Amino acid sequence: MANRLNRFFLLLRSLFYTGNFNIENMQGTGFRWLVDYVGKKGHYEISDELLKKEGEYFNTHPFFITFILGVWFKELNTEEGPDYWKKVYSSAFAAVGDSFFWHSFKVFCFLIMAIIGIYSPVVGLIMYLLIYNGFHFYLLFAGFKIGYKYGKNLITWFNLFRVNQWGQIFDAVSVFLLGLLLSFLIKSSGIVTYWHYFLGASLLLLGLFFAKTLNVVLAFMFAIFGFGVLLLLRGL
Amino acid sequence: MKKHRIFRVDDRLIHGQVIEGWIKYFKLSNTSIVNDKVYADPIQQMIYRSVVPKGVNILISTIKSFENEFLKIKNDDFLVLFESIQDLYTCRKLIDDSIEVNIGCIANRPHKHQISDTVFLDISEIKLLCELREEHNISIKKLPWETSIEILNFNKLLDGNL
Repeated sequence: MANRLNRFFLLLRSLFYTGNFNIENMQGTGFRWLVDYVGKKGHYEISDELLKKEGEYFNTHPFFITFILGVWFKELNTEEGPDYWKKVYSSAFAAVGDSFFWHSFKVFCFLIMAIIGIYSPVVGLIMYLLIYNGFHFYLLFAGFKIGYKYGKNLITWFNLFRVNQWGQIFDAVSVFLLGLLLSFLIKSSGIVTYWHYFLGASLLLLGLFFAKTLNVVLAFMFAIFGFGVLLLLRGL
Repeated sequence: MKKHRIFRVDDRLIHGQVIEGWIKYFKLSNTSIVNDKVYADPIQQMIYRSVVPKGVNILISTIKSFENEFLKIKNDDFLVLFESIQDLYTCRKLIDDSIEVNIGCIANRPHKHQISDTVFLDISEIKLLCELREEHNISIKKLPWETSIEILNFNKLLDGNL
């Protein structure tokens, strides 16, 4: 599997492995499908019994799946066996992936898109797709090789990049970008008075506060209602 | 300010839902993993410590030593993670009224019965849960903002042998 072409095809397959996601074995069927593919390509000896077992419950963040496959094959003939590390890393990567990709990186990419989108919506959209997918495609492509190289010690590779701080760093950058976006919007809308500036900033803070404490839809309804009241009182 | 004290059974231990749904949502500063295997394995410990957000204390203890470890966080807010109903049952003496006990995820395995979309239990686990349920309020809850499923009728189910 050291071959780049094989790893590219693994990347393509990994984009579809969650296709049979279900509540009974989650991504188990897809994982078995990938193990079967890598096993054949890399000429590994995997018994039918073990292959069948890989269809059991499995769930992780899909962008880290090839790392887990790499670890699985590295630990295939060890005393602990591959499934021990598969379970540990699936939980750990689900924690990192949910936290970083869904809650931080997506927001970061959206803000980049929105800022560029002020000038050119199409370029903004392309940039979003390039940044978001470029990063996770790279992880999917390189994951097997890195996972196989480090095996059960894979976490040491992630610790080189302080994996548990990714979310916080990107959150901080996103807040800065949000400020930048607001400045652009205020400037491009011709809103230059202090009143409009403080109104915009207050509404944003109010929205963030409600979004933290209430669910998003309800917060959105409050924001619309609040803005309506302000418009009634102050006019446009 | 209300303190959030949670005992949770989740066989994935540290996971996306645990980090985003519980630790960050309630701004919990203490997380504890009560599991003999994790305690005995330095690499597993390093993996879990590496993925918990910065600033969150993580205590890893055996089921036996947890009683003493628990004193360190007892008066603070915390999330204690157990891998199985059996582990929770062993530590049942520590549960009081201020602690919310929830079952998050127990994966489907052979001979297990589906209780919810994330919880699958076998007969022995259901019996232990029923016993715990006699004295404590336990619910199935994936995420804090979701409606919890109260565990009330298992005894009837057991009478009918499921």
